[in-house]
Amino acid sequence: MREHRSPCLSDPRVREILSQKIAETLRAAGEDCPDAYAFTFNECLSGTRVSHRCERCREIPFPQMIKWLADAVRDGIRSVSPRLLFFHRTWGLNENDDAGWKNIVRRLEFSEGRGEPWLAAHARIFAPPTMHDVASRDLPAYVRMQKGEAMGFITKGTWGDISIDHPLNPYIPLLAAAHPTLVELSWENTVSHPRAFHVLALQFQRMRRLRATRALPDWPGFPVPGAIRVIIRDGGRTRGQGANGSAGWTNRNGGWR
Amino acid sequence: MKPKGPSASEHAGTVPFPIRLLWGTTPQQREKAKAIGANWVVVQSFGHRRNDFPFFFAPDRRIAALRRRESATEVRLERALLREGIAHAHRLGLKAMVHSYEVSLPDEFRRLYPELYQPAVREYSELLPGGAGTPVALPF
Repeated sequence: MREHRSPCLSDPRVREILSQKIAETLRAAGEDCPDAYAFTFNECLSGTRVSHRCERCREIPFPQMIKWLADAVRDGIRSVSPRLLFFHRTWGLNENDDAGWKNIVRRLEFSEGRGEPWLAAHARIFAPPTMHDVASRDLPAYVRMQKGEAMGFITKGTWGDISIDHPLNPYIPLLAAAHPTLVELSWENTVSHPRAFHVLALQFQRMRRLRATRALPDWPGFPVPGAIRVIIRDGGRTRGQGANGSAGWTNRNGGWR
Repeated sequence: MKPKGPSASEHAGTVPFPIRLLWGTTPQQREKAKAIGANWVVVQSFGHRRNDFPFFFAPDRRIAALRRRESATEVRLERALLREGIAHAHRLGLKAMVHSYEVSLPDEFRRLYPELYQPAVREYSELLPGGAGTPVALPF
């Protein structure tokens, strides 16, 4: 239980605090600075998720809210060092369209109105298209807003956490077309090792079919214990120096500086 | 169904990958990352636990004072983990990435600056028995 209040990204003061928080986090590392900073807009402590809607932001498109957050994170990073690579991990934004509000509607339908009391109110109040986020509408729009930014994406290989049932994340090509994109394979403690290896292999095959990756890493030693969040790929293009003097993105042969 | 084009194993080793990243928030994971050929690790992730922030928040004296009084142990621990993680990764020849879940702020902000925390849209808040700000289980 917690207060049904959360910071709103339309508030410039909230964004400034986030920038300052990230800057101080990076400075706390001391002289041995990290090489990259990534953020995820989901599962946060403060209750603000992409679905957040308050009186301040109810008319503001979701892609703008996401962009504001990304800008705040980037500003915090850049205030410390222009050399740090900046990643947006899209977990929480690349769900299928049946998640979020529509999921609430389905729960209401299946419970025939006898579900939790808030279901009906939630389904009704957040029904207008401007009141609930939709991945297929909002994520592409957000990615377009980031055109030209010196940044990369990290995105899951599938919609959800590791599962054979999950289809391939359809947004991988969209992200990778515009920015260097790492594909993440979660191999968490919900699946035993032999089975996890099988699932990973399936995910790799799916990505290949979608031409999401040009090749796969040859990692001897699979499986390894614990959680693995993988990686792979840059887009194979050469990107110029960042507009703000940041390190920019180099091609695959040059690696990422 | 046979996949089109060269197999994964045929590709492996022929096309360089600039980033091969492993979630490596422990020394063991980082060493494993090195052993299996990864070149990056996520050394620390913030914003997923109640108070896992490596800062006092110096820009605000009130927040900083409160955190120095109540969260100094957590801050010191998180800073040590962050520094050790980065240093260890670099010693191993790995690049270090830091990750955070957003929007996450320490509880001190909620206590000192409640105006930063907005209730849900009016028609939803009004449905709550005690009005906006009533403690409820978040449905989303």
